[in-house]
Amino acid sequence: MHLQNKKGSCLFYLQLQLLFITFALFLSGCNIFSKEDSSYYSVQNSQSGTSVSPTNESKYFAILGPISNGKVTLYDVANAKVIYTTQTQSIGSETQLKWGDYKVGSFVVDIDKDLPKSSWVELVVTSGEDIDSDDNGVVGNGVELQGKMKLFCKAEDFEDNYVVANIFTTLAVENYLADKNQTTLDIQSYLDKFAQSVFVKSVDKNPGVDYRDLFAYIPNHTTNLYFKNVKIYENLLKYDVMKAVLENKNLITLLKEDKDSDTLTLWEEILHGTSPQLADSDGDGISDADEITQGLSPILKDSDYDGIDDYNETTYGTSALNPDSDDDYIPDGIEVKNGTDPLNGDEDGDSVKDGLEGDPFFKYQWYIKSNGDVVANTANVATVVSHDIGVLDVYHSILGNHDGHETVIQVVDTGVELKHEDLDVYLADSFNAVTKAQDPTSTNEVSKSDPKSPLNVGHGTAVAGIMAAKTNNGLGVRGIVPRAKIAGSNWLEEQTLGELERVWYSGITDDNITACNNSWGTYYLKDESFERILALGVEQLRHGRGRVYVFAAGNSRSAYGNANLSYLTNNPYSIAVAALNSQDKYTSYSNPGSSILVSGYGGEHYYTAPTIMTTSLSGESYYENELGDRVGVITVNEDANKSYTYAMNGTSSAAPTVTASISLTLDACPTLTWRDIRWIIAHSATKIDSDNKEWVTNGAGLDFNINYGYGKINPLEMIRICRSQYFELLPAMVKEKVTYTYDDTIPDNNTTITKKLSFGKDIKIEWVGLTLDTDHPYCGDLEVNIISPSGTKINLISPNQLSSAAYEGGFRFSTVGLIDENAAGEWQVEITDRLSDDDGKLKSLVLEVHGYEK
Amino acid sequence: MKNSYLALYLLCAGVVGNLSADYSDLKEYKARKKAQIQTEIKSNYKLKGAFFIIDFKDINKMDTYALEQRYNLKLYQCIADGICVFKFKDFKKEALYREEILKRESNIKNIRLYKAYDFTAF
Repeated sequence: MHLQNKKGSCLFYLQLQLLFITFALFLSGCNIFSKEDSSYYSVQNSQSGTSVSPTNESKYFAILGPISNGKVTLYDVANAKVIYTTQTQSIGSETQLKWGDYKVGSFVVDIDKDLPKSSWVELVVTSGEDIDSDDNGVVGNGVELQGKMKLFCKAEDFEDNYVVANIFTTLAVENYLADKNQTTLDIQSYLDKFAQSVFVKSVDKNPGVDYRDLFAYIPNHTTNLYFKNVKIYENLLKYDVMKAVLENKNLITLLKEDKDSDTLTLWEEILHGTSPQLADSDGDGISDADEITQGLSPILKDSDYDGIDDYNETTYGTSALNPDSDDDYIPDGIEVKNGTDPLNGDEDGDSVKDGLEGDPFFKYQWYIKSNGDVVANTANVATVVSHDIGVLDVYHSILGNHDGHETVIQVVDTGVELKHEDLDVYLADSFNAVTKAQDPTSTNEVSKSDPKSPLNVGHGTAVAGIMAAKTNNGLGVRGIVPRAKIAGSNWLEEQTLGELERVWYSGITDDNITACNNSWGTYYLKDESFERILALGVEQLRHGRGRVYVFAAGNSRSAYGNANLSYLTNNPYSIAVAALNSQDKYTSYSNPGSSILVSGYGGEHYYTAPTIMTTSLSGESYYENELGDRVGVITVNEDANKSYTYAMNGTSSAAPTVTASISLTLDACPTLTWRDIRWIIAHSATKIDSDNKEWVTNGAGLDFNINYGYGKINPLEMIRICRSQYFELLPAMVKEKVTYTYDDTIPDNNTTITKKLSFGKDIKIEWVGLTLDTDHPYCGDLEVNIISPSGTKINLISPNQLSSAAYEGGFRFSTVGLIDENAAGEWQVEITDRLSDDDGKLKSLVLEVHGYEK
Repeated sequence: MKNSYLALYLLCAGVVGNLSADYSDLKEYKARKKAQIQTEIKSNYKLKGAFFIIDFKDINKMDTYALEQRYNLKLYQCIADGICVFKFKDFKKEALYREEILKRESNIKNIRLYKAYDFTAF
């Protein structure tokens, strides 16, 4: 939007904070070391503009670093003339964007109304004072800016984007000026190429970077959110690059230095994250320059994460760039340790890769490996399955007990059979809630008259097998985490909070337990006791990084169930999981819910569509011909001991596929917190069933669906993200809430009432709760939607079978669908009574946001 | 058996198919439900004996020893920050106990009977 000032010109209010932290230029294709800067306009045209004061109506702004009282000049590039000059404001002046806790450096730009939006503008900042020269967010002793900061942008960028002048943009301008007589590229193409050459080192994927990403002023804050390299940020400060700008020193000379004689310049060291003082930054015996030349990481001893240092790979003849040199799904390091040949992927010559053999029923586990196979159950109902969780490629470098650590996954369920031939139950971390002993085997008896009974009693054993059935042992199935152990509990046979507290938190404290699977719940639960325990677990366990608690979303879709109706699956600490069938669509039973983060495979119903093959109570399963017309726990005829089942399904099955994927990710990246896991899942899940109408793209560009969360769990992508040297752990969590009280009738006639809630705190969203208090006597009538300040509309609850005043006194709904959106602004809540006969009053709304400050 | 599974599946699919429709089956459900006297939500709890679970407002001010002394309670276990389980003596007087404690103790948000839940495996 353009605002007309009294002179009829277009007024842009630019908040400029000169940023001296990000110095970016890259070597390939961009000659940064060629020339001193030259402001060619100032020589040709010394015309001055007019200073304009900011107004409350000003809409557009740019940011520079924290430079107060800086002289700012804007040039029209095409016509080589000065458009305007002004000063950055002083500390405390009104701005919309801040440096730390301070508002500083804003100014107003008055661009001539005749300047086309597509015109290129050069902005030059001279003089002024850097009020935070060490960039720690705290205003300290000022340092005078003696050099110049520059920026190229289009006039329209002032309207559409944050425009940030910094070292990235300064070098882009200098390089363009130096190269403009030699390059055939137009200015935008040149700048785009420059940005891509810088940011390809920062994000290691996504070629969609353009010149606007040069406007980064802190890591993670670019137009397209591509800049992730905190090491560049740190090193620019550490090696005094920003100081050199302030002191008008020769940057070119500085950046060409090679103090450690490793043939890498300071700039190259900064981009690669290596030490300018060490020729071999990672100490693996290979110099930084040689590692870069060979495509290895100069900052990782073990570039391919296979358990063998780069230097030692030659000893074994293995590749330092391929963690699994013989492609047999066993990492080289594991093979060396186990005495097998890392260069022979089929040592027994049976045409089956070594890492994928030894589990006779693996062929039925389509959810791990489908490859378009025909999956047939015992009745020969065949389905072509081409979908799985894509975990096989993870096994090239991770099997579940990497780096010498035991991987333990907790199963809180009906118990886990200790003596099962295909499970490794870790007694030290197990607990029987009934006997108070360690053996987590179910205490309930299996009914001999009810063939369903073995799965009722052995539910936890089936769940455990999906995650951690032993591999390559000549028996049964394989778990998604091949070498994990199970910490079992039969808490569902006891069900008091006291015992649950022992299992979830105080009694089983082993930091090697990565994640906890909970494939149980209920239709409706309003009880904060559970999340109070979970809060302790995520804050204190796993060395303070948090055990990750995963919950099944529930199987009540046919009864209008919703994961948002239970505090087990809509609290801030749980990861709720929906179930997929073999066609990558939600199953007939899987609850929807805006609190669902992700989906895993649950399978459909035996005889109609593929189900889940896993472990079951030893000797208790049935062959199909034994059941006749009865429904029971079916196993395949090859299962001589009847200790497995091919009839497992439910969100109970989906949850462990996610828990296992999380566990593998934490093996790869053990420093991740429980919040990082949630964030990574949101950014890595695979979008499925794309024609489904309930997909929404949130304000941060993430696709979310109340049936699927962010999509299908994708462990390979999760690990790729967390292993990126540019991935950053989330900052400290902040929580904020606002309360609004009402006394408004909710009409009983399909009429929507809309309430607006103002939220002031500027938080990047991770989780949003909305507590609705109404005395409506039949809450199943109500539909509730929430609309974020970014305009993302998410259904919190639809009509359901709640037949009482279940929301009276306040019932909390939640969503994880707004991850990475900004919380500040106006929220809307829509409430509609969809069924007839009852009405009630809205008493209050409480909006609660968990996330982190930007 | 195959037919019964299939019938169940189709029934479920049919219900699911109505999710985005006019809620006619929910309206029927409601009509049936309203015709019944009992419209309470299914309980998630099973009684677990003469125990209270007490939820404190401010964990910094909670004094479990004083509570034990004042009301002849015995601390059984604290479950989370500010949530503790106490055993009490006379189950027949539990309502009176609760009323009295809530009335006199300003730092107590809620008192419930300590019960086992009734969750089901999914």
